[in-house]
Amino acid sequence: MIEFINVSKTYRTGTHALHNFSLNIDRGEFVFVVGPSGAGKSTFIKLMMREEKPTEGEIYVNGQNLVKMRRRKVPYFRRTLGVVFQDFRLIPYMNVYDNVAFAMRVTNVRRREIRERVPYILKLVGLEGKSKSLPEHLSGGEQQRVALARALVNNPPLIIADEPTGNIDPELSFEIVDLLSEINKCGTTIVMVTHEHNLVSEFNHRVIMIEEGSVVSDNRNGRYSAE
Amino acid sequence: MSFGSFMYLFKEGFKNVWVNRLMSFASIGTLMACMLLIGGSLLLSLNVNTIIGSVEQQNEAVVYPNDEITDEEIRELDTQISLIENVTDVIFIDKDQLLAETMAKGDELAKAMEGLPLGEDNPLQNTFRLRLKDQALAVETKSELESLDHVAEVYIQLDLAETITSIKRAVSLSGFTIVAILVVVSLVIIANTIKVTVFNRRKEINIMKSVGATSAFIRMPFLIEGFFIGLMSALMAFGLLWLGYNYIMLAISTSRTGWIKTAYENMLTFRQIALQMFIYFSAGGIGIGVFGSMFFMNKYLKV
Repeated sequence: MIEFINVSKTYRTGTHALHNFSLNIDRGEFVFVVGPSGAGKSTFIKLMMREEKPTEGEIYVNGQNLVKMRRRKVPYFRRTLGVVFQDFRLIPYMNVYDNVAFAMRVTNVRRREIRERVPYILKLVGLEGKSKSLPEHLSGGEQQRVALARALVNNPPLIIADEPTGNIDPELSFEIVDLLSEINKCGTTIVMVTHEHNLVSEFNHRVIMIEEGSVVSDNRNGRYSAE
Repeated sequence: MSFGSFMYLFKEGFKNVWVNRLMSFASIGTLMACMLLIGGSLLLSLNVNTIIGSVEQQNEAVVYPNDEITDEEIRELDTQISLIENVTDVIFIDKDQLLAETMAKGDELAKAMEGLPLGEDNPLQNTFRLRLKDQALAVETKSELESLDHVAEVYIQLDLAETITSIKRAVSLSGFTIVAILVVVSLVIIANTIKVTVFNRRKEINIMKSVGATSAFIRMPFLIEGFFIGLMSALMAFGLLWLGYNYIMLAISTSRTGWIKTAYENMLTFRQIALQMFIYFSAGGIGIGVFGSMFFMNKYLKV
């Protein structure tokens, strides 16, 4: 599902973000990616989304070679991903319904399909009563659930979550990860980048630790150590 | 892109004008102000040019034929003068006509010329009056006239011709310079306004990109928005210029000062240039609105 082979990334500013980074994530896995800030977690996400290209190495995501991918193919590739960000990234002037529907509209699906699918997804994340609200009128936890609904709406095989709990209360954080775990049980691969150790130890998922641009530990039972 | 998507994006474009009303207002204001300045300067220099043109028309040249000239030769000379490229409105006035005309100009002149004989003994000279199409060629035209047969003397106010020519040149040049500077300044200001607008919405563009929107899909509402803002600015600038111009014309028309009156008679009416102005404004506004936003968006579409 996701394969990084000897990937290195050096930005134009000279920052070496990843060195010789390799990992393999299979279909249906739930993986936490942890590490201190500056370890290369954001670069890892950007490379997976094809926002950046690696300086060296090969990357395959959802069966696509991201290094060789042409730019005009990128939007179509991104429709096979669901992405959730720390800062929610909702479009401020669109209400909850339109924010979720937007991810479907870009794919040119029929309006009827959108009208059926969006309320269903909103119900799934527990926001059925909020479809007309604007993002600014929602709490952080609710906004993140909208973002999650948007990530789920096209039924992608892979969900990438970049610090999805970074801006919400600890109790709600647990709920979000719980929701992701439920989604994972239906077969969706989940890659979640986080630095919240407590949260990681609550769930029994694979944990990959990154430091200074390389994988330093890869543990399948939800435990990890810096050593 | 399906028709449904197109309609959705079209609506989004219009909605965005309102959603981003503060920036829309700023953009329309900037574009409109620029168009008003350029339009105003253009009107001013066009009018100064036509007014000078009318002064130019009043600069009369006079050709005196020999005294011995026959009627036959006068007709021949008339045609020859008319054939010169730069000459227009040739009128022949014989000396008796000239005497009557001069006496009609005032009592004192009439008194002084009383008793002068008509016909052969009339001491006044037969005269050709004519105008020059282009004062800049006055010297050449003068020598051309002098080279004709039976011409005794050619009288052209060369210094006036020279003055008019240099004023015209100065007005055209300064008008052009002012408009050119305004266009450049406007483009810089407008470019910055569009840049700020797009910059304010870079996050939104980035979000759209991250959920898999194609560049065309993201551009479409911006394009509609740019089109609408450009058109609005053009319409408003056009309307304001029309109102302002007619207001000034009205103020001038009631003036009793002689030279202002003459100027007024020669000024362009707004209708004469309205269509052209409207086309330029709309094309400029829409062009800048659409291509400007497309151009500055590119940077943010590359992720």
